[in-house]
Amino acid sequence: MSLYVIRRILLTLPMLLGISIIAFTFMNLAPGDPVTAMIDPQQGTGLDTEALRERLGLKQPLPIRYATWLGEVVRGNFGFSYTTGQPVVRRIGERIPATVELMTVALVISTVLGCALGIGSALHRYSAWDYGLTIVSMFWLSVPAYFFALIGLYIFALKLQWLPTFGIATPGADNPLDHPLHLILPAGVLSLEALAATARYTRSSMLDVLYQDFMTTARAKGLPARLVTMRHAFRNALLPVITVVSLRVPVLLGGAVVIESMFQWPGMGTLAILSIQQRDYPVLMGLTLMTASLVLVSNLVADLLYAYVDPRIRYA
Amino acid sequence: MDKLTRRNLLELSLVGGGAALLAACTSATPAAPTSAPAAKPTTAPAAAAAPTTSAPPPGAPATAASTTAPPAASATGGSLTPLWGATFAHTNPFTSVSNVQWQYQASVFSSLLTPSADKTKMESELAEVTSAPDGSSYTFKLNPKAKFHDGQPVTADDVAYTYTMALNKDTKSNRLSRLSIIKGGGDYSAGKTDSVAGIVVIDPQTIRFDMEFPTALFLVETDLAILPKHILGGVAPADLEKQPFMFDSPVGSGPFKAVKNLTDQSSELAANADFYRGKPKLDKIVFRIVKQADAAQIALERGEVDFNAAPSGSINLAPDALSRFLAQPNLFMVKMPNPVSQTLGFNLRTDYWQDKRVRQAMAYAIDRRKIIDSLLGGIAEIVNSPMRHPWVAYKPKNDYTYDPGKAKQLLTEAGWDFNRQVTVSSIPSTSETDRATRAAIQAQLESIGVKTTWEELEASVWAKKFYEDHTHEMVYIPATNFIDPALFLDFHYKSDGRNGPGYATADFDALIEKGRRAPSQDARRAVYQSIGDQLNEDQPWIWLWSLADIYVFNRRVGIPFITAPSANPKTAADVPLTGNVQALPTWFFRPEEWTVKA
Repeated sequence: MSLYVIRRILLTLPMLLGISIIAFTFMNLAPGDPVTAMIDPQQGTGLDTEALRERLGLKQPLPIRYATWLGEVVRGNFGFSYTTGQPVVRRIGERIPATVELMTVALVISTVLGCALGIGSALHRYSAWDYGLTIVSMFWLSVPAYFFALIGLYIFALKLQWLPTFGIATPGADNPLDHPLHLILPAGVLSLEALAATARYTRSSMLDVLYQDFMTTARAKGLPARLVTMRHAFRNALLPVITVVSLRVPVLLGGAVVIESMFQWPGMGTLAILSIQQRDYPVLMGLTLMTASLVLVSNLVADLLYAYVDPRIRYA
Repeated sequence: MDKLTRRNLLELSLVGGGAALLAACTSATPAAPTSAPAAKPTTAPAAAAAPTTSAPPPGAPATAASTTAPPAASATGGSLTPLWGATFAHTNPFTSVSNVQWQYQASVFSSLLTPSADKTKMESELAEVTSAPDGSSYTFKLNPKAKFHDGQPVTADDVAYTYTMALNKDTKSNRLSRLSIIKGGGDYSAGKTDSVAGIVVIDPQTIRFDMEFPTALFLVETDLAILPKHILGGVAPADLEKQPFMFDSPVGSGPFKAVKNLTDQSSELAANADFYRGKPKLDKIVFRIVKQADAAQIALERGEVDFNAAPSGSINLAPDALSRFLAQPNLFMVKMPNPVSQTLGFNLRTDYWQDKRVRQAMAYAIDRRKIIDSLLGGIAEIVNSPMRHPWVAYKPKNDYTYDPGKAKQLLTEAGWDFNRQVTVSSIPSTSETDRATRAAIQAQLESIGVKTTWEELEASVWAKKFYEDHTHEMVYIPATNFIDPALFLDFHYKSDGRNGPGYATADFDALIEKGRRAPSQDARRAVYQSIGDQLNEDQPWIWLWSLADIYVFNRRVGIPFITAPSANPKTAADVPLTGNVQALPTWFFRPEEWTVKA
């Protein structure tokens, strides 16, 4: 297993290289450049744009610029933001905790609740509960998160005033619950779509397992119903659920852009949008590498979980 | 649970589907409350004194006299929470481009002079100025009490350092060309000299700026935030932008000290008890960032923020949203003229735009009054010129009142090809109102025989097309009149400027230069009024209207130059226009005099 993990980690390097080449190429082929992005359409700019292009190295051929960038990255220098001058590592790094927190909480909520609802739905197939959950799940999957964010703000922030409207914390607040209260709405809204998807997949997967012969055997042995459901049925139904949950990671990362904007959550999604608008290539490349690494790691974790959950799966 | 029959399932599905449809059709804007929102408790404005009438400053456009209760007695202490609708990226004064950054700098730093509240003149901040009678030099005597937040005195060396760095091309300064009016500034920027000959330190409290030529223009440049040489003097100019000073820990000499900047969240400032003009009335200012208009609306209604500071477009400007603000007893609205106007531009490099009758026809073809009243909720004013600066006091000779008959006549006389299709390039629409406005203009141009296709380009692509490649046909874009007419004309209309419209000629260059070199404000005024007449006649770039800047304040806020009305009108159109058009940078003026009630 260790060799498998090492092999997978080593395989990520050429994959990241390929991703970086594709991302760098397409970024630079897009119309406009970082210097024109600095020109406010309303008021223009006093910058000497040609001199700035020269200074930023934008006049060099694309392969040379990529090689220069790669050489610095290998040395651990991801460069400086074109717009603020801050190191890219710092620009991204200060936003990682907020994004990881939001994603983790949303993922935990959606996974735990989604599995629970899916199991309940499967156990009570064709009941009012099952149909109700199906309809609600379809609704949550179909309606964009922006709508739920507005509803949440209207009900909980404006009408009931139970929860704060925006931000990650109230400046200067010493209430230990202040930050968790700020987290509830954005994490809740972000988790809805994933929760619905997880519930549906869990239900479907459980139904495949519940009526198999070994389940009949387990019941016939007189095992408690909870044990039969959780240890025998759910464990065997877990493989597709692991796949769905691991695939949620990049979706949550992308979907967080809307939620971060609605609730003013200082995450990487907002930084990505800003960097795209500003053509801040160093920051965009840093974000691309980070996101790609995250997806590759989550796939690796999913593969390892398969082996843990299903003893029949072994990696050479 | 019992299994459901198919009939039950169909009934449930119908009910559920209907509920979902109703929910989906719910307006995104929260409905008007049926009861008063539970905002922070406020007291009604003090009614002890008789209502006062605020007189407009000289030369200002007539505004409705505001018969209002005076502001509450000056309070001290408390925290002001302005709302920013955009991220605070950095506080580098050489590369700042947004109101967010300028407001921060106005609080943390000092400048030699600052625009007056009515934007008609520059007035003393860090220094008193003495100008040579012909405008060939300016001598500044610094306030001896002025200190940086670390206790070091503000000296002439700091001023010299700041202006020298503003002329250094390695700092990416956006004032390079503007400050080239300082003697030797251009040579220094080009790397031909090691210092700027025209910046002369006379003694620790006195500095003189000599000009390349006599001009009254330099005073406009005295709003630059003064940086501490003892902290930044050892940093290479190219590395200045990367310093933590420019992000987290600026040290200025302003009324407030930087405490903490949280990315995309807030910027906290604390009062500077040693401020040279007296301790600020507030204990602190906490700028909070809320980019989403609906969240900003809720935050204002709940009292989580005190007012929307920058940019004003951070709130929803739809008429019903503004009426909702006015319905809240704890809020009041201020409407100010906006330096940004909506414009329709041309490319005079193209032969069919070169006849001014064609351009005049376009101006006559657009029913601006109707668009403002029916689509913009009446909160815009018609403008006919970029010469909107209060001290220029320019009145356009022709206001191009809607006249489609005259428009068609002019086009016919000019030999316009009525089969021609013209592409109008704009940046993406930001609202339904904006889209409706564009559609209205397109229809009105079509009615006089000008067929247009509208394309939306991403901002940097649009900027390249208009400012660099000049490959546009027509443009529809908001544009600002800049803080001074000279800056506007240099940028947009000179041969060696961006010259987006392609209107520059040697004669017009000479006229613009005459305004730059005029030694007094009166002399400059005459030049700019003449330029205003020429642009009004030739219409190389049609200035359509200016959407007012709308600011929503919590009644607990006391502002030195704004008086809260005792009662709110029903619609934003009925809110009187306050003050003169504020040129950039921000109108956020004298933050040390602001107050909040507990």
